[in-house]
Amino acid sequence: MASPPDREVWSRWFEEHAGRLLLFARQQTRGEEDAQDVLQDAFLRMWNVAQRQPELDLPSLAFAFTSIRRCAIDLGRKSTRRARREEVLAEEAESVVWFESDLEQREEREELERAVRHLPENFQEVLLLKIWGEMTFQAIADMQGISINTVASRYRYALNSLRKQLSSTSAS
Amino acid sequence: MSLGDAPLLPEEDRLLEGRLQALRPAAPSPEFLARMTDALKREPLVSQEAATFPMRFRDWAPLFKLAAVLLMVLGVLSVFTRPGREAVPAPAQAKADGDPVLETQRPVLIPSEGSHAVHWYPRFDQLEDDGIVILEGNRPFRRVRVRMRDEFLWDAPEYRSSMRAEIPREESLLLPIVTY
Repeated sequence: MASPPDREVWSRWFEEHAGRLLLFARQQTRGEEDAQDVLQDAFLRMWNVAQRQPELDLPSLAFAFTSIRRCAIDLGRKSTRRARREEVLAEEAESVVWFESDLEQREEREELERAVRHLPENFQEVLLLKIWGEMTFQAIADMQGISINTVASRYRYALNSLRKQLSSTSAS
Repeated sequence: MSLGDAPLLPEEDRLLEGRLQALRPAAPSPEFLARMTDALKREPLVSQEAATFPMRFRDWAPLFKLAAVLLMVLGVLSVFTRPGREAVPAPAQAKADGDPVLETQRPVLIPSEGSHAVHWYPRFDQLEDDGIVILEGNRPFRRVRVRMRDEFLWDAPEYRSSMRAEIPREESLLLPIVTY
């Protein structure tokens, strides 16, 4: 029989990937509070799955992103929270920083982050999973239940849209 | 970073990819990390035996034994509580010419060969007075025709089956007339 999962190992795994997981949770939700709740819920769900299937060991990033996505969908269905979330949306939206950078690259970071956050959600999701989630197009396609060609197209559209935004910003 | 399956991108897109990859996702606050650690500690550890319970056949054995005993008890009960073994009241009939009983609406149970009962419901339809007739050595009688229907109902609830049959019948009753 496989040994049960170790809380310490799981905590270390979470700390290692917390940044990218929280980034994806932020993209999937409308506010920081929701993002943290969703991430916690997803992580504990994975923990409970691992207890029943100890042979799985630590979760893959793809499994983690999928779990976050499902929890975010579940949260979105809760209408009572949705109303409250809309209220705090405007206040929180600009206050939470998605990326960090060195001081000398701050302007670059702000410019890119602004452009990423203005992408359409489906483009944004593919871009985040590809660049910071280190997922392949095939894994993203499996996760989202769409074709690999659609994923690749969305990625290209995302880059294209980013380039346009950045060029218009620099021109102004 | 593996972007091996990326399509052939224009040079400017690859440069943009490089700029994006240089960004690091913001690290969560220490408070959030502590919250996650606490949540993980509070989450109960399911024992391996309980976690794998449905996969182990031997854990189901007591349930199978209990189910077998229950089935045996039900079987015995069904044998001793068959409707065909119950006391059966006699169907209502007209008793005598002088004191006719026309019908009863009470269902009557008739035992059948199998384990299912057949219910008999005599239904009264119509009564016709034919008037006075003279029979047997000039004795006067009033002849009455009674039209009835016999409804038989066979019911087998365990098969969700039932059958209903109606048989019409007519009886002539001769009521003696006493003359003074």
